[in-house]
Amino acid sequence: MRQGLSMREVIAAPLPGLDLRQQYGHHQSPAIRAGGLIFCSGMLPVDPETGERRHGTLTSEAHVILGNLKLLLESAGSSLNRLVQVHALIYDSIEYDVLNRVYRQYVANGPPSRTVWTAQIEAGFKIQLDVIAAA
Amino acid sequence: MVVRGGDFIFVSGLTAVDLQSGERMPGTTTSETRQILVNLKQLLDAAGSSIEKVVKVNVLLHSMLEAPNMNDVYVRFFPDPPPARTVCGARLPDGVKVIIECTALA
Repeated sequence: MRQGLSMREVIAAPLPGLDLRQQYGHHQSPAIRAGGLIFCSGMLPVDPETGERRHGTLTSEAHVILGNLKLLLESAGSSLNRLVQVHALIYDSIEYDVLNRVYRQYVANGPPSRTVWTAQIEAGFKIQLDVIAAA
Repeated sequence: MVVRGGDFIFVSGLTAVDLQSGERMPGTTTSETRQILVNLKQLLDAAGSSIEKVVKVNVLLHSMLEAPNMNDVYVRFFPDPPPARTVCGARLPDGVKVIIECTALA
């Protein structure tokens, strides 16, 4: 077994608002680096500085989430360009097209694999992103 | 239920069952979460991994109103600092209240 690769490394929140464990008691790390990949916890539309919930339209929530994801991944030495898999959970599939319009602005060329489905998201949010990126 | 690939071990979405008999153990979100995590621990150990090596967990709940109940049990099973996690509410089959899947280092 290659010891170097069997390590699990916690990625700390780059800003206090992104630490959902601290803010809301969720028993999770913001992200974990392991085996050349970065596994992010479900990203929610919270203010990256204060952790305050930023409820809004699916568009506005997606902007906040993708901005937070950019911060988190870049702090870990990765980026939105290095996403390999995205799970987009949305509250209603009628907003699929709305999601795509925002998504394209952040994830432009050679987009990662992606699956979109509807789910109930905490605190009545309209969207949550669950992603894996290359480290 | 448990598949090894590359440096990782992928565990299927688990529901509350008795691992020996395979019988379902329906209950509350709390009891189902506990049963699933007891089983998960055993499955990971048997595969040569462990709960400390888990990198990502996905939790599906029948209602997000139950998220705090799940979290209360969850806290007792996972190390500090915990793995990454996503929790969402979904329509689960056969009256199941909780499904938990995870990825761990081999």
